[in-house]
Amino acid sequence: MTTSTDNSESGRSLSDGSSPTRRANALKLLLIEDSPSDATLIGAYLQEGLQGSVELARVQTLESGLSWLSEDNIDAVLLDLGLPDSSGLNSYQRVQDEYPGMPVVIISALADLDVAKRAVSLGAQDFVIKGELTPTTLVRAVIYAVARQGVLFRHDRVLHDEIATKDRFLSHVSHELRTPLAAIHQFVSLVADETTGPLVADQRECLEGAMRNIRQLSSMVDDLLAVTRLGSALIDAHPQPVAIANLVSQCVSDFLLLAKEKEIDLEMKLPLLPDVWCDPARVTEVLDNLLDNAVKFTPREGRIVISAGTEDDFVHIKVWDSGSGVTPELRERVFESFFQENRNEDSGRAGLGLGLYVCRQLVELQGGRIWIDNSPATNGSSFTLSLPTTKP
Amino acid sequence: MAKEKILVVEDDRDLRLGLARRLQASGYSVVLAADAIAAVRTARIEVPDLILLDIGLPAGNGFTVMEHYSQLGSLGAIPVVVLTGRDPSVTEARARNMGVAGFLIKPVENDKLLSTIARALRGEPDPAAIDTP
Repeated sequence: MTTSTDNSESGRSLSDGSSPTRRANALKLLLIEDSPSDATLIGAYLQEGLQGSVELARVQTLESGLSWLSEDNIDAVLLDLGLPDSSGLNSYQRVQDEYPGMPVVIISALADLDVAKRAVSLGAQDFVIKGELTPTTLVRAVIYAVARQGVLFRHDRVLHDEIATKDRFLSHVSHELRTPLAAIHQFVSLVADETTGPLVADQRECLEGAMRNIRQLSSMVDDLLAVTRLGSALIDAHPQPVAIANLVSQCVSDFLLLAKEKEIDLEMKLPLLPDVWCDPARVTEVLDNLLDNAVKFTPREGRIVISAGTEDDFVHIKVWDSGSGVTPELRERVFESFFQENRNEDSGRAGLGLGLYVCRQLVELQGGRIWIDNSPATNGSSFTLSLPTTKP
Repeated sequence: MAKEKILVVEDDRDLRLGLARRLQASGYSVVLAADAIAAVRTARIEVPDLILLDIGLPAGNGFTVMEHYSQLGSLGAIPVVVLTGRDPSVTEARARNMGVAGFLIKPVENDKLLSTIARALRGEPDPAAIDTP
């Protein structure tokens, strides 16, 4: 076993010079412990338990420990909680922040179960009590710590790769679908616009059906792309002061025609509102989505009301519709990705179930909130978009 | 007055044909190119009034095509409208920086396609470009 000790005042000495070469498969450990007697005991236990296949470096302060980690390839850290320059779990947090993924076994003088639980929940691999140490328990803690961290690391990498693959796939699909979609759109519209000759009513009706579906498919492709961008953090928001009443009116006016086609009464009740901090393009996307859903799920001759109010430092914009509503069990789930309500055949196609998921991500990106109201007194469904009046 | 001439650069055969017919139906004369090399060669021979340019192309891409145009003197002055299926969050800022007269995502509504082309031919700036940093 090689033992390096830090006896110098500020820095450290690497080795006692007895054995500069590392044994194959030897565990390389860093002990951050200010008490010489504890350090000696721990060193002896490790040597005994690991039968010499360990290379132990020791430093007395957290700072020198962190700088040691920056220069050496350490398999695991044994960390005392009572150091001259740091104490308690702060020491662990520092190691974790600067060397995420480094297996750490905490060695504490106190058998405090609460601290132990907190340490492990923060990511420490183990928490052992000095008074209870034996060569066997200490070595077990260290070996398990390294092994468990290895499993965690592989798991994280697999998850990361899977997400990256999924994002690449969605982005690729969204991209590759656009060109054939654009070609279909062009050919169908050329015929529908009678550039190829006059149409009779039946033919026109068929082509209008085709065009409607092309638009639907196209907005699904847009949603797919939006989700991919959220996943890869390519989407951002640029909040600025916005006259929110104007923006809402603009969005609502875009839906007047659509509502009229279904004979839906679309009503807007806006009081005087302060400016809000938001990204107007992103908020427009969100409002369009809410209004689109409202029109889609409200039966003929139904009602949609857009209202607003101020509460503390937020402006609430509420979109209520007289449609069939959302059952209490499903209220939170509507914001999940790929959520779709089971509906009967006549109620039309649901789309990909990404709209509200994207909305929530976009709203939270600019310091706002979006939720579905839980009031049992409300029939239909009511969504509230809340945006800050102060700079986020 | 002679018809205004548009060069459509698009590698997908069907979309190239569809766009050509749409533009012809709207009174433009149309020339076609299916890859980056043809895009430069055809532009030099035909000297179109506007270029409708896809980004993902064989033998290069829309950006390299635009770089070639700007190196070829007078060709650099021809307005370019991009029509792409690629993620705009990746491509739009770059295209705008290269001075495109319009940036459209596939599939584009015909009203928008034709109004963007008409505006670019009049030499007016793209109102959508103001938002782009």
